Amino acid sequence: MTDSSRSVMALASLGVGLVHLAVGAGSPLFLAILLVGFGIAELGWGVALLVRGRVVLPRAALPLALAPVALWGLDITASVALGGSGMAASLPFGPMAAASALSFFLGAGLAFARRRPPAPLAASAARPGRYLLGMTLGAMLVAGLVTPALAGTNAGTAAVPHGEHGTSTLDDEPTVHSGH
Amino acid sequence: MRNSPNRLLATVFGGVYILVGLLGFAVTGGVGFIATEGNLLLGLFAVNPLHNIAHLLIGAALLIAGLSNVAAAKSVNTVVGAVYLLLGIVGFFLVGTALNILALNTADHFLHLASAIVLLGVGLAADKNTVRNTDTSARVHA
Repeated sequence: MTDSSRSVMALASLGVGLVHLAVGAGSPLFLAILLVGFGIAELGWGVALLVRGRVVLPRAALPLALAPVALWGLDITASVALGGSGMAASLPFGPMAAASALSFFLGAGLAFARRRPPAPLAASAARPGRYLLGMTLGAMLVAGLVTPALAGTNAGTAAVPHGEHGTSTLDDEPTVHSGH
Repeated sequence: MRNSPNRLLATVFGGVYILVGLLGFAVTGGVGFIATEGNLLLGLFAVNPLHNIAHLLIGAALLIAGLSNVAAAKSVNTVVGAVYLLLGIVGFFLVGTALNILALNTADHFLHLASAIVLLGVGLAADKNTVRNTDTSARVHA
């Protein structure tokens, strides 16, 4: 596994961690604890992979990467079993589908890494331009999945539009006075 | 500079951020600092004067670090990427506030997220040996 592919796996782990944290922030307490835990673990694992340049906890990482997909499957199954539709599950469909796609990518990358010897660490130094291009394309792919996923979470629906950061909040005040 | 991914990235991103900041002032010329919803840069990116200043400051930090040395570029790339992602994560738990900077589906959020993870990724992963060698040689000369 090359330096670039390790780094792209780390970026995917950061992306899926962000989605799980955002979904967890607006979920019922039990699911929130699990998803925030997964999110923190995924962010930490991604950072560790970037810093150390090798897969951290290679045996535990694969089942842990796929555990949130299983959790989402259980959530949908429980929703259907209770008489609702899969779309009425506690976890939002769009963000969890995007996160699951990234989880499967991570799982595939981890399975591939188990079967291949690690490549030398100096690949980024040998061809920095090519390495940067790979990282930028990887980051754009991850951001392309993660940005709409984040927008579909509770945090996304309540987000302040970008152009209004740091602007006056006077317009947001209620126009009807409640009276004294 | 050509041999260091961090210096290359910091210099290119620094230049782009400064350009975006300057172009932003061109489209927000008649707009007040705090009384605006922002105008569109290149028809896509919402900016207001506060954003322009943030873009200029971040661009200047990246460009200076990129033109200086590997250690500075690596540090600034990592810090800018990490701070942006951490602010975004805090925003998930403080919905309805201006800290909620990641969870919107617009062109500028896509670019911000992509640039943040590239900066953090390259800052943490690349130039490890170069920085280690620089530290060691500095210690030997001291």
